[in-house]
Amino acid sequence: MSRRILRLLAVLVAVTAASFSMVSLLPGDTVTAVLGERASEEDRAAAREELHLDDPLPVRYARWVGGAVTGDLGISYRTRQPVAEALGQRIGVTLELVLLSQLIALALAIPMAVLSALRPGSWLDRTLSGTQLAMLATPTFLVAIALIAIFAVKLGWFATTGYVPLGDGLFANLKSLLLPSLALALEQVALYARVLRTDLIATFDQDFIWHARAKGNSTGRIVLRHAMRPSSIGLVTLAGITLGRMIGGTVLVETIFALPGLGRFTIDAINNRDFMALQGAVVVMTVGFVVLNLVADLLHGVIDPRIRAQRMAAR
Amino acid sequence: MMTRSSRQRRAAVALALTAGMIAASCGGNDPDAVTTTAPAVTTAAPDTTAPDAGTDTTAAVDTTAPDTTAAPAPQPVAGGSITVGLIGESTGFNPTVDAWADSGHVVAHAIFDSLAAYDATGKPVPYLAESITPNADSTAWTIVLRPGISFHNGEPLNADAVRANFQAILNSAQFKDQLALVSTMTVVDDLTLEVAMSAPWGTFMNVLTGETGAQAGYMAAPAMLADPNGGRNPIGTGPFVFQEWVPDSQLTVVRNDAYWQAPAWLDSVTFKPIPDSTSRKAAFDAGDIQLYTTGSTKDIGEYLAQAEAGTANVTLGSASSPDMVLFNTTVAPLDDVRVRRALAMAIDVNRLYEYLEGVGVKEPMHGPYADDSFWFAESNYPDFDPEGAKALIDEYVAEKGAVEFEFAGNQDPFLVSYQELFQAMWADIGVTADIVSRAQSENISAVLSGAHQVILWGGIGGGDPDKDYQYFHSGTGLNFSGYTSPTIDAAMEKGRALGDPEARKEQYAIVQQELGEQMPYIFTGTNRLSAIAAGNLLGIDAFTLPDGTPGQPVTGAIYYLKDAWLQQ
Repeated sequence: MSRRILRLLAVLVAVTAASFSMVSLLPGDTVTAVLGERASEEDRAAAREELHLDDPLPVRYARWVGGAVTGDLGISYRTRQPVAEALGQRIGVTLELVLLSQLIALALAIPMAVLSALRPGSWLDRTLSGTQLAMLATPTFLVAIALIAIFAVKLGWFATTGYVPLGDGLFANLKSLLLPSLALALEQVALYARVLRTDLIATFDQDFIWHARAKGNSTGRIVLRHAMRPSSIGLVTLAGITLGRMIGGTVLVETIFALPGLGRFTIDAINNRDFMALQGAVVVMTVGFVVLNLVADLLHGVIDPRIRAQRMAAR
Repeated sequence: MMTRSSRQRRAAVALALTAGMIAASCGGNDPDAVTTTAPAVTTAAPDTTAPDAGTDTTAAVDTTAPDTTAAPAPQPVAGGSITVGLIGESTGFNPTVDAWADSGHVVAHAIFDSLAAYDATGKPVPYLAESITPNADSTAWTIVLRPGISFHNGEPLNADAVRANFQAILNSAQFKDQLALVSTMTVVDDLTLEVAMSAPWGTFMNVLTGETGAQAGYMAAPAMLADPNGGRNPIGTGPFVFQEWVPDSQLTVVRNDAYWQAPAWLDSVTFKPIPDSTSRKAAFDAGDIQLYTTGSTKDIGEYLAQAEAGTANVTLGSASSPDMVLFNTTVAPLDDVRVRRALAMAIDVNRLYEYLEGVGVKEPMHGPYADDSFWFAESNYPDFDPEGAKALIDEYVAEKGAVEFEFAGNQDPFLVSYQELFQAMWADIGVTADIVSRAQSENISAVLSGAHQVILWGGIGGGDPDKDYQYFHSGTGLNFSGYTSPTIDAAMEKGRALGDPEARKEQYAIVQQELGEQMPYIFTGTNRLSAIAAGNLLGIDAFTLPDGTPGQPVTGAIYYLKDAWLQQ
């Protein structure tokens, strides 16, 4: 575990250092974004000094790291709000959105994959494959707009936009996140179903499955008790990567549904050259990605005893 | 390395070109779009009565009542709450710190009041101030406040408070240019502040109106100005009191029962930033928000049609920079006024409006300022007259040869087709226009270097004429048409120095008359952002000034909520 934590720290340092270097290469000027085009040269120079923008990059990075280890991610150039506080206001929305979308994706993908894998090549398999292909091919923004048009505008079942905090009631909270989560989930459904279907088909051909069948186990029992677990490794890996990638990658859905999440925060930071805010967002995304992949990695051992045994032997 | 002046120059050009391109594309190009053949809009008096004033907002287009002469006007009632959809979020709500787009100003006008506001014709007049008066040569202005006004935290609005606000602006690197000519401020008495200028400044009142570039007019409580987090807890004198703000989610205000004018009708207003325009419209259609602004002529046309059925209310805003074509008058054949006038006379603007889905929304222009603007003056600006145009071209061709030029625009296919309409109408009078589609940056470079001939443009005209000083005056480096005239220079200079709006108007009439004669630009149609309100949300068009006269209800995408009410 300690090795994994060390690896996480190494990744954090590498990513934040890289992002610090890269944002300085982006076109545009932070001072212009803060003061506007019409500020005088004297005021611009004063702002550059105040924001330490003229310091060498390593010095600025070291200063930022010094603050970050104590939880101080700096002050947003644009809003003057502490970055940690701003991130705290937004990360919950994005995490909830991402987790709910994954639950929906898995809830839809697993039955689809099982049905396909039980009768590969059948009309049902072909139909489900076609549906999944359509889900993959349809851009998320189009799905989002269609969901709003049908379920919010036409049927009036949901609000078109906006976020209701958990504190205002679980039902209202989930209701405000259902459409955006669904919009995010559909693409994942197709991916997850394709991966799980392939793994299940391979598992169904294993000796222990034939053995279970010979013992007269029902199909349901075979799938649930014997096939699902060894077939889930690919799915768990993919879900871990997807979850990590989605933290900060939800900007489109957050914009369309007007959700106050990390994605909008990040894109605003980029558009306004608010590098301090962007750096904070990068930290959250990196930690989220690495931690979720770590969790997925650990789950492999839980799911498959052979992997656990290999790890033990390696020690 | 780009110098400051070249950077500003480029920014101004980019702004102008972007404004033009955006304006021209506002119509949208969705082939499945609902038709925008809207009924003719009325300019009759609004159907609501403000709590404290008479009503005759001729600038507002009120389509609430199908028959404004027959039905008795519904009377406003207090109560109810609305949700307003905003285009974007603001960084905070301190007028001396946070630069606002129109969305920020909408919120700001609910919480703060500005010292001045626009009357129905677009002329700045005192609002929170009782009077704002220049001396003879506009080198000193006296601001007299109304007695008995307090901020929401109980602090009095007095001359010291105004000075504190101005000083905060002057201390701001971002905003101090708004008050650049202010040299000294003297508190004469509790309600009187004298502001001395370093040079004549006739348009001082413009920067006190509370719009983009005019944030100096908002009055914030001195305690708020002193608070580093004041922008998160705004305190003004406005019709609503700040209650709560969750950035990127919502901001809520509640009625100020101690308002210095009649209290607002609504109990509370929630502002929600919805950055995506499709989502904003969907939110309105679904009833999740009751008010938003749009510049889409297609959407405005759709809601004007709905207004006939009473399911929506549309308040057209003041005309902003119009759709236009820019000539380079320093190169042949555009250096000949006959050609320029002929090109203008050949354009049937109704064909343009049909293409832009702006029939019933866009209106013809007869100069840089809309016909209903305070600044508009009659001129010899030509009407649509293809025969007359052909005669002028024939005359030119006989003397100097064929009329051919490059007609530039950007690479948006929608705008290229728009240019083709011009091309066809010019071809009808014997003119060859070669359409050139370039990246916006290339068009900017072309205009900056004077390499353009004819180009789709924007950003000129529409507002206070002093904003066009940089484009019309010969000595600014931004006179892109190349048309210069001592008469225009003198009039623009005098207009800038004079304090009396009527006297300024006389100067700008001189400018318009010369432009109408010489035609360095063709102005093809108005651009108006419009406030779209639910069928039961009335009074957006009924914004009244403290003296009971009508104010300008929608300026750009900025509107006031103090006179809005919900029909029960």
